[in-house]
Amino acid sequence: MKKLLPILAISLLSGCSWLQFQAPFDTAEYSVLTQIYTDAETFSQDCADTDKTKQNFTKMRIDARYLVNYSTDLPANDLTLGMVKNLQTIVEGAYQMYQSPGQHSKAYCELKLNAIKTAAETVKKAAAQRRR
Amino acid sequence: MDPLQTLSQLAGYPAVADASNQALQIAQAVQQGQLNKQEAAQLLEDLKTQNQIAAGANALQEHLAFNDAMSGLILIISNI
Repeated sequence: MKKLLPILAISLLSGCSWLQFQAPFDTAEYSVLTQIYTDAETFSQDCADTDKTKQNFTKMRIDARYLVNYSTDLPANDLTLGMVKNLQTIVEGAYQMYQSPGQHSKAYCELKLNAIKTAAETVKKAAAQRRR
Repeated sequence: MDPLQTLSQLAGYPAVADASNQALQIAQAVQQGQLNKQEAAQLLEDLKTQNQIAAGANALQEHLAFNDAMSGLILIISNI
C-alpha cells in the first residue's frame, strides 16, 4: 500500500487530468456516423446525375452538421469531436463544389464519396470502441 | 498535375489506410482529363484531412486503452 501512495498523491496533485475518461459509446452519434457512411456507399450510383448528386451532398451536409452540433455538447468528447469536425470539412467541400455553376465530373463525385466513406468508416470504427 | 508529384504528397499521410490508392486514382483522373484542377486540389486536401481523422482515431484508441488500464489499477487499489 505504501508503494501506491505516491501514485495516489500524484493523481490528486495533478487533478487527475491524465485520468480523464472519454465519453461512453453514444448510440445517436454512432447512428449518424453510420448514416453518412451508408450514404457515401450508395450515392455513388447517382454520380452521373448532377442534380441528384447535388441533392445527395446537401443531405450529407445536413447530417454532418447535425453530427457536429450533437457531438459538441457531449462531455469529455473532444477526441471524437475533432474527428467529426474533420469529416464535416470533407463533406462541406463537396456541397460547396456543387453550389458553383457548371458541370461537375462524375470522377470527382465518385472520388469524393470514396473519401467521405473512408473518413466516416475510420470515425465509426473508433467510436464503436468506446465503453458501453 | 504530375502523378508522381501527387503520389509524393502521400509521404505525410501514412495513417490513411488506402491513401496511396486514392492518390493514384486522383492522379489518373487528372491525366485522363476527368478532373479539373480545383476538384483535384480539394481531393488531395481531403487526404490530409483523412490523415488527421486517422490520427484522432489512434489517439482515441490509446486513450481508451490507458483508461482501461487505470480502471484496473483503481480497482486493485480499492480492494487493498
